[in-house]
Amino acid sequence: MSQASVPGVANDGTGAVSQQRQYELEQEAMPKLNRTVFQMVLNEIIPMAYAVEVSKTVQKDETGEVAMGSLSLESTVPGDDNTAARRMRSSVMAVYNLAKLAEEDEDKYNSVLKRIESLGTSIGSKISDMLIFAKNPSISFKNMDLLSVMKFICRDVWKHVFGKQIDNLKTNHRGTFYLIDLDYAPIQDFTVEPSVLEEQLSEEDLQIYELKLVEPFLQFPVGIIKGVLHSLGHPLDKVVCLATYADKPKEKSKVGGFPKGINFHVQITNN
Amino acid sequence: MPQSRSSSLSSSNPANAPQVRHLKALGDDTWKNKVEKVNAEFFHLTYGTIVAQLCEEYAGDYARVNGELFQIGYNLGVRLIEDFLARTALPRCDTFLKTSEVVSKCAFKIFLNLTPEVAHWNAARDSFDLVFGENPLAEHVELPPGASGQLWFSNVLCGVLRGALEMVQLDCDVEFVSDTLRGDMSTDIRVKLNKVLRDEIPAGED
Amino acid sequence: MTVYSFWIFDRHCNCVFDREWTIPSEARSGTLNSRQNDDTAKLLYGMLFSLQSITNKIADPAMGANNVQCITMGNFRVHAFKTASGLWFLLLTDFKQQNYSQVLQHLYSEVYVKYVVHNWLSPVDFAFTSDETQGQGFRKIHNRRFVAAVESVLQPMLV
Repeated sequence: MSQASVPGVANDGTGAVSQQRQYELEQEAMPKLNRTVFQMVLNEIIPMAYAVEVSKTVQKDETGEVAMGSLSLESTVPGDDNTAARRMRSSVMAVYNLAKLAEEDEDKYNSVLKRIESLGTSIGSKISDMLIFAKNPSISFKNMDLLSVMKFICRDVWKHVFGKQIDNLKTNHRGTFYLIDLDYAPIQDFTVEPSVLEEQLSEEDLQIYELKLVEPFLQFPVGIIKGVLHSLGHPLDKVVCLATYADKPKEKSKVGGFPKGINFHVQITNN
Repeated sequence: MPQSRSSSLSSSNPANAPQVRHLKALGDDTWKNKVEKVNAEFFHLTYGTIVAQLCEEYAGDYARVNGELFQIGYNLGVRLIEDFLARTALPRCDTFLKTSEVVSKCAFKIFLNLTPEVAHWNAARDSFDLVFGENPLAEHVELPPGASGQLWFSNVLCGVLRGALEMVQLDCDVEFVSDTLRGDMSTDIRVKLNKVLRDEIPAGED
Repeated sequence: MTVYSFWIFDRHCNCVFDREWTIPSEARSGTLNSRQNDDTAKLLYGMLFSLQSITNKIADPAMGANNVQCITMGNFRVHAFKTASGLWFLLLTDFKQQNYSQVLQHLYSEVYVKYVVHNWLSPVDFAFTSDETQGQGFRKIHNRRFVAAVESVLQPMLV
């Protein structure tokens, strides 16, 4: 019989393995749901963030429809399928909204991105708390140094939230980190749909435009990173996190995925 | 496509039993073998955070929050239905009873790993309730003060159902009628069929 | 087996995608979402629609869904797959292969659902106003990864 083992510390091997196994079994037994649904809700946050921004600054007309200015489509349709016609427009409007967002003035654009990021931060810090509470025996949260926190984000947080780990973690060991996700899951199937645009763009311009449209989606994982750091003792005002597109090395990229990876540049000011 | 009504609409009608068993098996099998899974608690906390943020943004205007949640659900529903049909290859239901079975045993199972009960059919047989015990999206949630009586926490589900059903030509009103978060005994979503939408025909054909 | 063309019609009777290989074994030949095919598209849809209407009238509704699956002409075959959401996927082919339903279902679940439904930059409804319904629409799916995926599924079947 092995003696009582200290959580998270491997002693005679047998104790630690069975604890790990127990943790895994506990995890498997937890209630689950379809990852597709989770991912779709995460994506829907972005058009929602814009819709909220607009509805806070625009009047409702008498029928209760929110006027969208130049994007306003017919609000009344003759015939008995009135409700169906109105709804049809709203699902198209979500896509129009993304295009409109890309063209908004800086203040509005940043306000929307802030909203997306702050959702990510709230969710990130709560998920972090949840994972800490789950007591994975292979992670020790006591006195976690910064590098360990970043590894926790790259492995555990990313795996749980996005279904895969961060591909690459680089650091200068002085508070700067680069987290590179070559196939950021929520955007993998995104492609610009030219028929939504009013003008014809060249193939090159289309691809640039596509990256612009997807930019707001990257604020969510930025928020996640900041939220986790916050929950592990690094306040929001001490952390800067910026997402940029990263080129995919030919050998490493999944064939047919989104053309760019994401590089998260994280800088933590020393406390 | 015309929708016929079978004469007996009770789930316990033996004629329906093999169909129901098949739907349940389809739902269970798809969930077990063909779905990538995530811990439900992550979804619940994500959704809860979204609701909380909306409540804050709209400063207690819960009617607007309900509306926003419904709209999010609608946008999701019109997409989810295609994902669902691609996974299950189910055809349109020929009775509203069948619809209720598909929704409760397949759709909810495949997407949320839940199987709400179908109950409270009305006399005209065009309205049923999906009955959940606890609120399915609200683990460890307490409504903010003042919200009870106004906020339908999981209203996104109503939007999803409305959007998805509309894409298969069923114009339905979908709304919560009770919620354990409000202290009610169960969490019920009422699905009422307004009409079966006619398939569009090319202009000039009729 | 030779595939001559591939068409997608939506619930508004509109053709939202068409790809025709005019020189059968030449992958790069043919048209993509071409306005030249508008008339053909309307005729194809009209034919499907009429056959489906007739089927619905003469078939017993209790026997369940009765969608048109295959129409055989003198020189080619039309294979059809309809989703409950009102989308029609069509392949025009020669006679070498009997059944294309798996190919069509694959195009639905692995191409359409992937690059249109799970793509937040694409609408799932290509009729933006009521004027574009009932076959009067003109918008098509042009997104490049959708198009590339269709090519990669169907090119091996061109010869």
